[in-house]
This record gives sequence, structure tokens and C-alpha cells, in this order.
Amino acid sequence: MITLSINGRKVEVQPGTTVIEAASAIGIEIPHYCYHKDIGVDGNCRMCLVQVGANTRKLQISCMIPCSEGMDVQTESPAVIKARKGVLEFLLINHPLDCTICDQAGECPLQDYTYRFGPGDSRFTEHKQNKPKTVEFSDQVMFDGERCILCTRCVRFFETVRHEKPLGVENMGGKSLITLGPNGPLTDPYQMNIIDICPVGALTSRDFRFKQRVWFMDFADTVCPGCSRGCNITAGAYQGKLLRFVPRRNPEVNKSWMCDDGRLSYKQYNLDERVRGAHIAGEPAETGAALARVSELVGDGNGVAVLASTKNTCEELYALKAWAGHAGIALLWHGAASWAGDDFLKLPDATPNTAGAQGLGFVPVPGNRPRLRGLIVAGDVAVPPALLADLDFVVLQAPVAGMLGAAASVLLPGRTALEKKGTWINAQGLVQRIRPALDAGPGVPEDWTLWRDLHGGHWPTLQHLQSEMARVAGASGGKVEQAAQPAGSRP
Amino acid sequence: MSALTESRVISARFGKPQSWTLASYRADGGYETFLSVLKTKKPDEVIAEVKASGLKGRGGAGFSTGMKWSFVPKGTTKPVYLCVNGDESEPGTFKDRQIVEMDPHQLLEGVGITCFAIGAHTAYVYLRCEFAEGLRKVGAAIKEAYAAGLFGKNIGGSGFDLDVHLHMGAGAYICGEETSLLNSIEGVRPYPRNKPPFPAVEGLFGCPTIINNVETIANIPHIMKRGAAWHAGLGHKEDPGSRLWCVSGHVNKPGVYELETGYSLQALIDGLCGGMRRGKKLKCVIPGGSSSRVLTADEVRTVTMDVPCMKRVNSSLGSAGIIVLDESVDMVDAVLNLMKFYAHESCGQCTPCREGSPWLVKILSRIAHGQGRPQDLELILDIADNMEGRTVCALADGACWPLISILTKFRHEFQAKIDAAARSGAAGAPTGVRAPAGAH
Amino acid sequence: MLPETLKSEIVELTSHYPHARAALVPALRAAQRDLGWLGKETQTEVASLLGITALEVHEVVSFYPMLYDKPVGRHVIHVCRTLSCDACGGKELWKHLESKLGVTRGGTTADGRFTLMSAECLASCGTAPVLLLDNERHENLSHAQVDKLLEAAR
Repeated sequence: MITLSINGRKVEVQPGTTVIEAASAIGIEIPHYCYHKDIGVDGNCRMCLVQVGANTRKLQISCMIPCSEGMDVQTESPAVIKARKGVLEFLLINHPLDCTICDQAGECPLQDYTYRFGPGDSRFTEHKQNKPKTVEFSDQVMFDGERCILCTRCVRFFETVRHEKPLGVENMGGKSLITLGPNGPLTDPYQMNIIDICPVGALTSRDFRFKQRVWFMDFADTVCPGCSRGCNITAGAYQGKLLRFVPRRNPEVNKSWMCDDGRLSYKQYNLDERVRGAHIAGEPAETGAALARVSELVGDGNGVAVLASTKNTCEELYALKAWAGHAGIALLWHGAASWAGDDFLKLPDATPNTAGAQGLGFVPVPGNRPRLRGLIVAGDVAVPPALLADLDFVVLQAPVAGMLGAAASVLLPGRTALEKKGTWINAQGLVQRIRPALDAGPGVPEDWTLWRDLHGGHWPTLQHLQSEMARVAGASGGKVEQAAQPAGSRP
Repeated sequence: MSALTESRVISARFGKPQSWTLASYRADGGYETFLSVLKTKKPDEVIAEVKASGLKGRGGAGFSTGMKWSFVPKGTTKPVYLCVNGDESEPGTFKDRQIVEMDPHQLLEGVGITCFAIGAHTAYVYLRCEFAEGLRKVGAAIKEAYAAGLFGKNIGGSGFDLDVHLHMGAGAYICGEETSLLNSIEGVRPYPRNKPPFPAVEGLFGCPTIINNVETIANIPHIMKRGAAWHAGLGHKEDPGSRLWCVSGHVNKPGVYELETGYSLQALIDGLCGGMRRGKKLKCVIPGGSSSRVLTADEVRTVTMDVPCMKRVNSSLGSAGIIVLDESVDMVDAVLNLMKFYAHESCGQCTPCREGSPWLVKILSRIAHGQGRPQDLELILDIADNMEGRTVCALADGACWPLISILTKFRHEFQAKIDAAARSGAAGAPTGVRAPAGAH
Repeated sequence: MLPETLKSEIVELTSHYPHARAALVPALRAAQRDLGWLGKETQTEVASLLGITALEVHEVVSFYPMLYDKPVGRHVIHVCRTLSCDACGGKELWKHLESKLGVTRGGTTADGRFTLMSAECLASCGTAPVLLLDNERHENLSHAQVDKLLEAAR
């Protein structure tokens, strides 16, 4: 171990740790632009300069220098404060300062660092440099050369994370510009990540551009429902409508990234029409009456199966199992491998909680169709048509009724993945907490309460349910509390 | 003041007929030192000799050459490279060009000895592409050396192999920075690299690499032939050697003069350079290439050309490019000219240099065009303060040193223009549209 | 298509280095010598000879002042504009050339004969003013000498 001092505080680190990492470990934030935890060091922005020892003339970049024994680092000395202010002034002189119409406003490190560390006024009275604006890097990504501070995170993302080179830097000196060069538009299925890592508004999402100021939006730290990777995300909504998903850093799952398909999948959770309240044979009914009708249809449970969507949370599945197990109903799960996986994050299982369902003892739909007289479909799932043949009854509990809902003996409301609370277990077995980004509105109770009420009603709250799960040894619920790391700053 | 005479070591063969041919070089004893070193010396002995000679790099930074060589990790399993830096582009400097044009074999013999010392079997001689003549001469000389068995396999039966290649740049000053030069050779954008790792440990293609200036390498055969003590006894004892001094500007006889360190700058101007042109008065001298701090006429009278004296007057010998300017020179124009150079040559990697140097050009242009504002001078000094020592390489430092020193020592010339602008009411008028109050 | 001789010259250049890419700048200079400038197709062909992408070539071409990614005249003039030349007749030489050729910086004469560019220090400060005509250095130039040079360059 190496001991050094940062702002007079002693800190012990492993050899090889950089000063910026050591500072971060003891809660000292050193502002930076080009350095990024998941794409590494470049050293061009000069924002993370610190003073080492007494040398105030030659400051050093903390992202690059390794800690050494006895090092005395100052991150707030007069020389550092002035240098930082100077760097910010340099970054701002040719920046258009069009924060008023910039989508990055409100979540912009150029704004934030200027506010915290920058000069309060400008000494620049010359012409600003003009560079290309509204350059379409692709259908998804728009580039503004004037806003760009040339940190090259975007170029390096492709180089170091995707091992390809669709973007580069052209020209030299003040004329330097991020460019596609002779390449066509970006085609990489992870290209939208460069929007998030761009520390200014130079790269914006054409999907999200000009939709909403971020400070008017509501955010939930949750998990992408798109596949069993379970990329950690922050879902952003405005007035009950999702506007975007962005990745949230989790070093063990998705680092700072997510696929563009998952990112744009938010759209499917903005429902125009949905099931509100219970229905019996197509007619609105009291929830109690509907549940009573379900019990009546199930009878002794013989020849009845539950088909659970693997988008259900562990808690929902646990409650479902508690009721169905008691009622003698077979427990089946069904996912939907609706997309091909890739060699990075995207997995073929396009549902987030197959591991949870398996852990709780749900079994896949068997190849030879079981003899069934009734089927209870729990959650949003594409039911294999064979399973529906010759049934006496179907109960559907889902956000959207669809064809099956119209034919269901009992229709119960359900929440989407973006309205739920609880946990999912991803393909690597990690239990991750999900949080609602949208309010489901009236007539859509939390899904697990339906199964609780059918069962006869333990667990006054979800916490009670989770405590019980935690107590039940062997059940996957035992891992519930190992959630992903708490929401940090944006990647 | 005694008259200066040249001490021609490096330039001894300049001007001889066909001085660039192998026949001419060998007739003067060329390559004998190389072949004898291969037979009689161990690499460490060569390094020790060069260390003891006190030779400092002639590219501008003035680092001990022998010391630099000793940084190559002993027993490395990677190939070791030598890169000869002939990207000569520091304004005011034109000595390396003379070496490559007039005595390329002297350089190549130095390359051979240096490679032997550092354990390199491949050397790249990097010349800027504008040196058409130098490229032809060095290219031909390399061919001659191969044909004569001086390069290639088992040189002189010593078992030592060496390949020497010519590499050309494409007109970027930054490539003279040693790690930028490495990137330039590797075929990527020639940005200077962050250090550490230093090139001696991890340089060209990730392998240990020594980068030496052309003139530095040209010294090596002489040191190995005549011994460290001989070299250490030349000129000033703390900064020994015989250097090629490039004099340009307003003297009667500009050109390259070879002198031992420690001579009087005034004597050079008055003597070998034939005094000031058209009888004009000396205004100032930039003594070590455009990146060194300016000396006023009064300072010029007192200085000797060696590192200790230059330190005393807070300037440097740099690349020995001596730019002499007479009283007719407008110092605002002069510094604007230099700042345009640095802004043009900034690679654009680091924020302070990329943004700061063009900003300085804009302000200085305004002052030069009669639109200076009273606050501009403090602003310039503060911008320079925010650039110097804040970047990967020394280009920004090199821009700031002449700027700060010229502005400090000739402030009255700047002030006069600003005062005139105030009287005419043109102060602050653009070059630029004024940003709104409070905006950046 | 690159001429075969140029291709084999570039392939030979790659043999000087452990990685073919290192031959990039010399290869581009060779291509420019033969073809006048470096168009998109030329850059792409050089890229494939060196096993890199056209963008990687573009990044480098656009960096260096002595690599041209736009067409130039039959003859290219580079006039040194840096301090020593500027102070010793360079400024006047530049004005003379601008008015003689009727073009401004970077411009090409209407007949396609000359492109006029400025250059930073050409390392000939002792013999100012200096220019390169087709990369060959001419020093201590009077305006009459320049006129003669231009005359000779058809």
C-alpha cells in the first residue's frame, strides 16, 4: 500500500492508483472532462490539474499521475484554483453559450464546473470561432462542432469499448474537429452512448432533442427491462410520459453503457390504452368479485397452470407462487427470445427476470403440452398458442388486454416494468432493485397485491413481503438486498 | 573585446567540394571512429565517454545526452530505436539543415556510434519534408554507407547490425517535440504524449527509444575520436562544446557560425556578423530560437552565450537561433508574428494551448490595428499565465516566454498603441463582435 | 487508381517499419509528389495498402500543412512568413506575389498554374526572404528573381 496526502488528508491506496481515483475514494471530487472511468485517460482537457508538492508552475493532471509514497497533493491551492478557472475560461471562449436552447443544460459538466469553479465574467470580446453545427452523425446522433470541447471521449469510446473507428479528429490546433471523415453515418448499435459521455451538448440524441428541459423531468434509477443483462438505467419522464432511458454506471453489470435498442425501448411503456380495474367476461367488475371468480374457476387447481411472464419481479412471482402453490396450480414461466444477442451487452433472453422465476421454482413451458383446463397468465407475455387450445377458461393479468384479454374469463390490471417496485435477478445472478418511473394511475394496483388477496392476505406492504422472502432460505429472495450500486452521477 | 574566430568542428567540412559524399568524408578520416568504437569499446564505455564530455542536447531543451542514453533499460528484451530529430522548425534555427545538406555522413557516423552505445539496431532519421536537398543528400549517404558495409549486417566484422532509414515529416512544428515525432513516425496524429512513460523506456512502437537532435548526433564522432576531456574543455566549463549558432535578422552577415560556448553575443554581432544592417541601432535579440525570452540591447551587451549566463538573465540558448532585430522593428508586430506561428502550430490537443494561442493572436491583432484596450496587456499576461506549464508539451511555454518577455521589456510600445486607440475612440472595436455584458 | 510504380514504392516503404502504418506520411508525400494532391480515392487506396481505415488517413492528412486534401495548381509556392523572414523582406515578397499572381493565401491562379501558400519557418532564416517553389528552396530573393522563377515555371 502507498500512503499519500491529499489536501492534508492521509489516504492509503494500492500501487498503480491514480491521484484522481485516490481523491475520489475519500470523497474529493476533482473536476475533469476527458478522463472517464470506463474509457480511460487521455490528458487533453487539463481540467484535473493538481499541485504536487510546492511546484505551482508545473501542475500535473491527476487522471494520469500514479500515487507515490509521501506525495503531497493539493486540489484546492491558489495555483490549482486559478489554473482550473483558466481552463474553463479557455473552454468557454469559443463555446456558443447557447445553454438556453441546449439539451445538455441542467446536466452539463461545463455548466456545473463553471458554476462551481469558473470565472464569473468573460474577458473575451473577440469573434468566436465558427464550426459546423447540426451535423447528422446518424439517425440518432446530432453533432454541434461549436459546443464541442474536443475531449475526444466519443472517439475513444468507439476505439476502446467497441474496437472500431467510425469517428476521428480532423485538422489541427483551434480548427480541430470531431468528424466522420470519409465514413458514412454511425451504424454501431451502441452509438448513443457517446451522447451520455459527451460532457457538453455537442452530441445530442435526435430522439430526445428539444423534447423537455431536464429539470422539469422526473427520474427513476431502475433497470432496463429489455433483456436479462439488466443494464442499470435512469428513466426520465415528464408528466407521466417516459422521454428517455440513459445508462447508469454499474461496474459489475453494464459499466456506463447500454444498447441503443434498450435505450429506445422506453417508448413501449408509454401506453395509450390499458386495463384499468378488473373485468369479468369483458364487463367491469369489483376487484374482489373478480378475484372470487378466479378462485371459483381454479377450484381444486387440477388441470390449471399459471404462466408467469419473466418481466414479473421476484416479489410478484413469490406472491404468485404462494397463492398458486397453495391452490395446487402448476407454475410455468415463459420468456420471449425476441431478439438476437450480441457480443457486448445484449442477451438473447429479452426479459429481465428469468433467473428470478427459475430460482423460485417456476418451470419452462414443457415441449409436450400439459393437459390443461385453465390458464392464468400473469404479466406481459406472448402465450404459446398451443397452450391456449381446449381451455375452459383463461385469466389474464396484464397492463394491456389485447386479443387474449378480450377472450379472458377474468381480466385483471397489471403494471408495466416501468411502474413496478421490487427486484429482478439478471443473467449473472445479481439481484437488482427496480423503481417506478411512472405512476400507473387509478385502477391498477401493485401486481403482487392481487396474488396476496387471492391467497388470503398476509404482507400489509411490499416490505413485509420482502422480509419474508429474505427469511425463506434457499429462495432467490435471499439475495434481494444486494441491489446495484446506488445512483451516482451520470456516467 | 577580442575578435571572435570560429571554432569549426561540426562545420569543419562545410564548403569543401563534394563534402556530402562518402569519398570526401572518408578522405578526411570519416567512419574510422565508428569502426574503431565497434572493435574496441563496450556500449557502456561510449555512454560514459559522452556523459563525461558534458554534451547537452542541441535541439533546445539542453538535456545531458549521455544521461539520456543511460535511461534505456539495461537488458531490455524489446528492440531499441534511435530517432534522429531533424524536424528543425524552431523559428530562427537553420543549423541542422546545413549539417544534412553539407555533411550527412558526419551525422550518419554519429548515428552508428549512438546506436552501438544504446543497443539499437534500427535508426530513423526524421527530416522535415521541406528539406528537399537534405532528404536527397541523407538518402544518398545512407545508400553509400550500406554499399560500403558501414550499415547493414556485421558491420566491419564486428557482429554489430544496423539498419538506418530516412523518414519524412509533413510540415508540422509540433513534430519536433520528441514524443510527437514518435507519433508522427507511427502514422497517427502527431500529438505529444504524456510522460511518463519516457521514450527511453517506452517510445517508438512501445519500445525503448532515444531521440536526439541532428547536431547532437553530429558531435558524437568528434567526442569519441578526441575524447571526453577535449569536449569538456571547449568553451564554458559548465556548458561545454562547440555549437552552430544561427544568426538571422538585421545584421550585415547573417548565417551559421560555429563557436565555443561562452563567447560574447555583442562580439558576434559586431564581429563575424559584420554589425547591424544599414547602420541601424540594435533593439533586441531573441537568443535561442523564437521560444526563448528576448534580450534588450542593454542585456545583449553584457551576456555570454552559455547556459549559466542565460539563466542569470532568465533566457536560454535553446536551439541557438539568434534573431537580431533593429530599431525599425515594431515589437507589437514582432510578437504578433510569433504568436501567429504558435497558434498555427498548436496541435490542438490541450485546451489551454488550443484555445489560448488563437485568443492571444486576436488580442494582439487588435492592438496592432489600433484597437487595443487599456486592460488588454494585463489580460495577455494572465492568459499566458494560464497557458504556461499547463499542457502536455512545451509548445505553450514556448509561446509564452517570448510573449511575456517582449511585453514586459517593450511595454511602452504596446501602451503607446493602446493610448492612441483610446484617443481615436477605436479601442476594443472588433476583430470581434462584443459579447453581451456578463457573457463569455 | 494509384500507379503501379507508386504502389510498389509504398510497399517498399512499409518494409522500413515493424508496422506498415508507420509508412503513412512518407507514402502520402510520395502520392502527392506523383498526383499533385491527395483526393479521397487516393487516401482510401493508401489506407488499404497500409491496412488502416480511410478515416485514419484523413485524420493525418488534415493535420499536416504539407499534405493537400484539395487540388492545387501545377506549381505550389510556400512563402515563409515567420519573424526573421518577415523582418527581412518577407512581408514585401508576399505582397509582391499576391499582386503578381492575383490570388490571396491558399488561392490558385485562374490558369491553374500556381497555388500561393504561406509557410511557417522554413529553417533558412539567415537567407531571408525565402520561399519554396515545388518544395525546392529559393533564398535571398529579390522581386526580380522571383519574377524569373515564376517565368521559368510553366
